[in-house]
Amino acid sequence: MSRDRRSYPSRKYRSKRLTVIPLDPISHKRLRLVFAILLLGLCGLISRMAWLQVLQSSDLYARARALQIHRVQPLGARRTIVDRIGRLVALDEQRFRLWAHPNNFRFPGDHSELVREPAEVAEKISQYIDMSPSKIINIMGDRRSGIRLIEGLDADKAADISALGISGLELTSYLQRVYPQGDLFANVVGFLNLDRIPQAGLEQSLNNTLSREEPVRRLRLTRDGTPLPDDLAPGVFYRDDEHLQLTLDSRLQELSVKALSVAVQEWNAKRGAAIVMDVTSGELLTLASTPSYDSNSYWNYSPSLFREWSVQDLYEPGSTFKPINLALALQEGAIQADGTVIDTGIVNVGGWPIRNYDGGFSGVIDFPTVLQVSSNVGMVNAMRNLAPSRYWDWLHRLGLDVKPETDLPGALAGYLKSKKDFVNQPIEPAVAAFGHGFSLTPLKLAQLHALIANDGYLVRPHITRRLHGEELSKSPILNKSQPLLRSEVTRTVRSWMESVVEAGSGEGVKTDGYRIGGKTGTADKSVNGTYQEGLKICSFVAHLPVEKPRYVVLVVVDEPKGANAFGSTVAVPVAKKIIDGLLVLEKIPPTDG
Amino acid sequence: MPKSFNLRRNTWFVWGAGRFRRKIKKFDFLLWGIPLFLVLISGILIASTQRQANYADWYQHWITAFVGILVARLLVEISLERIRPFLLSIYLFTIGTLLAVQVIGTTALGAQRWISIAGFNIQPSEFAKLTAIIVLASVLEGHQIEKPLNLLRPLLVVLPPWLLVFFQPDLGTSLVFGAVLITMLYWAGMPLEWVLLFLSAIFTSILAGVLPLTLLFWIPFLGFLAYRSLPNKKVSALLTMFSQGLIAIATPWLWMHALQDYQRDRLVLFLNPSKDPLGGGYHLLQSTVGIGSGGIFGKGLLQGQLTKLQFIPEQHTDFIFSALGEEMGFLGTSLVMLAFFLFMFRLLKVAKEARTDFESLVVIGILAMLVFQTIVNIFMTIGLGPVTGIPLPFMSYGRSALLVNFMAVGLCVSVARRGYSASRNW
Repeated sequence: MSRDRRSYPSRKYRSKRLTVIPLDPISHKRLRLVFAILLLGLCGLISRMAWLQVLQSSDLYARARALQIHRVQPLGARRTIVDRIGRLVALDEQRFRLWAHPNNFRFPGDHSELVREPAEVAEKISQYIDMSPSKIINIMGDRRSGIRLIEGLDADKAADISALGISGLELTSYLQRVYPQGDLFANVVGFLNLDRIPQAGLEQSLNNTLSREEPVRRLRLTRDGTPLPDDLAPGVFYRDDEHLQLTLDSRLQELSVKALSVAVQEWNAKRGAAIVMDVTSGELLTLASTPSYDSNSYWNYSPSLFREWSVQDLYEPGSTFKPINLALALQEGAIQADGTVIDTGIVNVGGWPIRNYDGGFSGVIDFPTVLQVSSNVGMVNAMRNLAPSRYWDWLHRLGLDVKPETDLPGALAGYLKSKKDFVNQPIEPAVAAFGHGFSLTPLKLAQLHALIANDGYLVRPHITRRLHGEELSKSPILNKSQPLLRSEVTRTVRSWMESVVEAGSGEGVKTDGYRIGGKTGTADKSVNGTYQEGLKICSFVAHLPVEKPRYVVLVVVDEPKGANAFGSTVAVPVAKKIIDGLLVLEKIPPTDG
Repeated sequence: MPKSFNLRRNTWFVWGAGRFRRKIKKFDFLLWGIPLFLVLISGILIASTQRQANYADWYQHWITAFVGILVARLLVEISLERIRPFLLSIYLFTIGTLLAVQVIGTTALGAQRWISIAGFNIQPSEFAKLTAIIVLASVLEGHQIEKPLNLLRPLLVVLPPWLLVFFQPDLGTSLVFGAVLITMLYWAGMPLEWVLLFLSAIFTSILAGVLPLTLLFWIPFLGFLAYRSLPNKKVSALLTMFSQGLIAIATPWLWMHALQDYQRDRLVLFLNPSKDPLGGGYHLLQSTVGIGSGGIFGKGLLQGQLTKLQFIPEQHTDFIFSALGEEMGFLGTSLVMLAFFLFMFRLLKVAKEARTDFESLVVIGILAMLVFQTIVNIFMTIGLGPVTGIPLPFMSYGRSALLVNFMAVGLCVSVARRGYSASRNW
């Protein structure tokens, strides 16, 4: 080795006289070794660089891109639903689940090999999750990981827990659908099950509209998470925050539900429904139903409540259909506005006797009186002047037997006998004259009364109003080109209905300063085709204000018990409360004079 | 003289005669040009890493370099020999500043490293490296290392600043001290076996942890080296084997008990950085990814995506090489490494042609310092070595370090100018 170096005299300090001395060669071996090490290092480095930058480059570049690009997975948030005045009906709230992994329990600053006892952790978190430490320890048991401690933590509590910095506790966020109005809109809005799959109501029928289109977003982020302004896909920050607005007014809805509940309880009825419809647009201000359920805890209720019966169940409307029949007869010229009809108390049609509800008779009466006393016999006699086939055609034209065009989930078509039966069996048009022998939904009846109220237009009954800042509905009126009925016909029928409130069975809704038209109904209920003794459906329909109607109010109470249960006693008081509320909430001015 | 050393005949820049041309001829292109080249490039790279943030102004790098060149220019005019009378005071002053750091120093990253004077943060450990080199050179000069006892003087001289730096704690810089010491001792005639024995402790430790069985061959081999090179052959061979055995036993114990988790991780993470991709392995992984994504031609200056987006921590200082890799690609990194190599080689030649042992040793010390820093730093940035916090000479942002590097250049040019080749006509 380098011993040879020692044989050379060492170079001395010669600063005083810098004389040129012969080159004093340093050992070649030493130089060569140092040189070789340097060269080897250089070669090694360059080959490593070549490996990284030439051979592995595309791979590493892809990894670099992957590090910068952040994918945002959609949470599956649904749109908020609000009512007519912007009150929240349904919304998503972020909630947290707390998971425990005892095999990883560690407090901040702990040594990495240390694992804390579940008891120590339970002690720390118990105050945040309202659970005693012993219960927490119980839940954990002997399991080491993946224990679900609690659900439904709100963001504040979740932040408190995560601020503890305990390793081995994991918070996962999820969305929960919350219905602040409880049971008020449950019949309309429906609910999501625990897997966030819509099970009823609008949540189900408008699922596509309510679920947001949330693509997986790709953002380029800096190290500290700041999104970069370049290379962004168009619309990446766009958040579709449109609400679904309902036409329902939660104040009126609440009032209606309360009034209905009182009546249903008082009369020991099976169920009740109330509809308030804007006759010009078909918007429903109220679609109340009782009994209902709470969407927030749907599992406590019978699944039979999850359908809205006023939309999905058929009934025979009875006397509330009489004004519509009279309008048809007037339109066809079968009766005259100032004409009369005879009510003998009983009329025989095809071997069937038809009586008035009270078995009495009224003699020769005009049509306002027919409505006021709700004369069945008078109606049968009046409608006899209309050819059965024309009559059937009209009922068909009104859409009695077709599914109504509406956004309400599960709306049913009414039931109408076939034209052949209707024409050939005289009893069919005769019972139809006082609202029997066919069936429809309360919603359809409201639509037909709106037709009387708005001078002959069929409106599209709907409860959703707005999305993307625009009217969601297409044209609210179905027969836009020309009215089905002449306006003098509808005006006449409305004035007859007003007389019912002024001097007939509808007196209960009389309100000072307002002109209101109405018609009560007390229909025998048919179950499986036979009329059951004592089972009735009591209803009342009102138009207001009569001079230029804006609203139709329909109240239906199913199976009220008691001898005194009639439309006027059961449904009218409910309608009165609703009308009072409606006049105030919609600021309807009293009629002059 | 082997053919490969004939670079001293680098007459390729000699174009003719004349006063100006003689001046050109005297101008040392490699020693001046390469640092300038590196500083220019790295200034732009630092700008690239800092554009999104604002904790260091990139142009400071160029300003410091300019000041450094002025200082170096002054040093060139002074013969190294004239510094000799002031060595003791320089040495004491350096130790004084290192002590001052402990008392009034600024704490950063868990260590006391800076003294703030008039708004400037001065890092005495950087200057201490240069002082140690010069003082070591004067101690080693004229004292051949032949007996183990000869090691005592140089060790005693270098130990005070070394320990002070070590306890700052600045592990990276203290490693540089070690590398410088061993290289200078070797240059001063210490047998190669001793170098191996010095370094053997590291290998013994690693082997004890990784492949304990190989120790059966390794320790006897060291004993053999000791037998060959040390006096009292048998005693020293036994002593060597005994101490190596002790190290082999102690290492695993120290590893588990004396080191904190993060220290352990830092030392071994480079072997498998994906073990902890977001924690300690993050630097290494990101740096490698950054360099690799540059490809052959790079993304272009100021265009590096990872660089601009601050994915690589400390990129303007310790990890500047990864910015180079991403923005200038394989061509850029090769060019820079070649530049470093040429610079080192030029220093080797200067050391060889120095007129005195003292000058020669100073240049070799500087060479050792720069080589060690360059290699350890680049290894770190390309994922082949642990994160040690050693900056890349001339390129990493750091004003004290850059100033010291240019002072070192000044000393080397001074030596080169008075060396044999400069005064002889080859």
